[in-house]
Amino acid sequence: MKRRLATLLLLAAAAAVLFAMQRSTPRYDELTGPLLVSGRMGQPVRTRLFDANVERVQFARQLVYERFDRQTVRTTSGLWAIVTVELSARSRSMHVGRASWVGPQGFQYLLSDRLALAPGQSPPAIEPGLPRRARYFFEIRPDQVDGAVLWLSEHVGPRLDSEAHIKLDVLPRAADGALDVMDTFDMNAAIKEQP
Amino acid sequence: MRIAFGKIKTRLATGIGSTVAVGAAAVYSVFGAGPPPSVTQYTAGNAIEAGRWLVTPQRAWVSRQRVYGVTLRPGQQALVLEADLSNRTQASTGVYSDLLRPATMPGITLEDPVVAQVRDPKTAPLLHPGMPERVIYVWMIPASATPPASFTVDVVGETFKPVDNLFGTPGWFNPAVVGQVTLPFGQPPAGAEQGS
Repeated sequence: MKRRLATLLLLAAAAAVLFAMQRSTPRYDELTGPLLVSGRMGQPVRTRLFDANVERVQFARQLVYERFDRQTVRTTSGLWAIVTVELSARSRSMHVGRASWVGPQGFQYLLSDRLALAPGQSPPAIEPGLPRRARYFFEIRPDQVDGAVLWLSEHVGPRLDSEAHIKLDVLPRAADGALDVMDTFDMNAAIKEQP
Repeated sequence: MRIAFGKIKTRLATGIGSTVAVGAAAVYSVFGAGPPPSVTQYTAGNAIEAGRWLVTPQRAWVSRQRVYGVTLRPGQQALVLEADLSNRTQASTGVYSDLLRPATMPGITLEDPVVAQVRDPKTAPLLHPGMPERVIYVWMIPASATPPASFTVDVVGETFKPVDNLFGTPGWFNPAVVGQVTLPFGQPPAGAEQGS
């Protein structure tokens, strides 16, 4: 009787262990996913291919730029978030073509595709030893501002390659603590003042 | 006697499987032959939950001009449907061309629609989570065709699977008609058509 009980217990334990192992096996997707490199604003984040340093985050209700000598205005139903990053390549020339603004609940806002032909909007090409500034423009909901993270990588969905996750924790604030949102952000003027 | 009984038993045993199969096939064909299940009917202004998207059809019209930056080739006219799209997923996406599927119209074959954003004339815009945008769907048809008085469109939704069977990744699968919208072809809103 006792022996039978012991056998049953052993069987149950084995089943539980097997179940736990089955449940905790990482999926192919996770095994070959991006390798995260985390950091925060104002400090360089070093990934395999590039270094990134987020210098500034700004918000605007609309963007203005000149295209074919004509003023173009881009409005949005939310906010424009403008992230200025200093980038430099580590070993070879490359583009940091993929950037996303990830809100506190995990909503992922990809780069806006509405700024075609705006100045400085091709994916920034960077060279080893020649750091340069790049600006990324996102359209976000106003409730996705606090606790957001910038994701940077060379390609869409990097596999077994590093992806920088940079906490955006220094936001422009007015004296009373409210978020400082510009009415208009002039992309041409910004390019001139900060090549 | 014994042998005969054994034979009957064997015959019965072999017959059961096929009898069940024939019965099941009959039941399926009887139920399958009935009218297709009715889909929910919607009109302009109804918000419809369809998988990735929350879609609110607004109006439809027939255009012979350039509409919100979508250019028509000579000999073409366009069936235009204006709708509000809100992204219900976790990331920005532009997967909406299979969302609306017009019902078949006699004598008209439809190609894939061109989708353009109304805010500024941009085709195939990326739409961001929780930020509704007004877009137009444009289906080109020959200028000689006569469009019907109203536009009937099936809304196709997909189902979210947190883990798919092949790669173990999350995704949207199994498109199915979740509703049907009928809109009368009316007048375009002011500023929609900009000459050809």
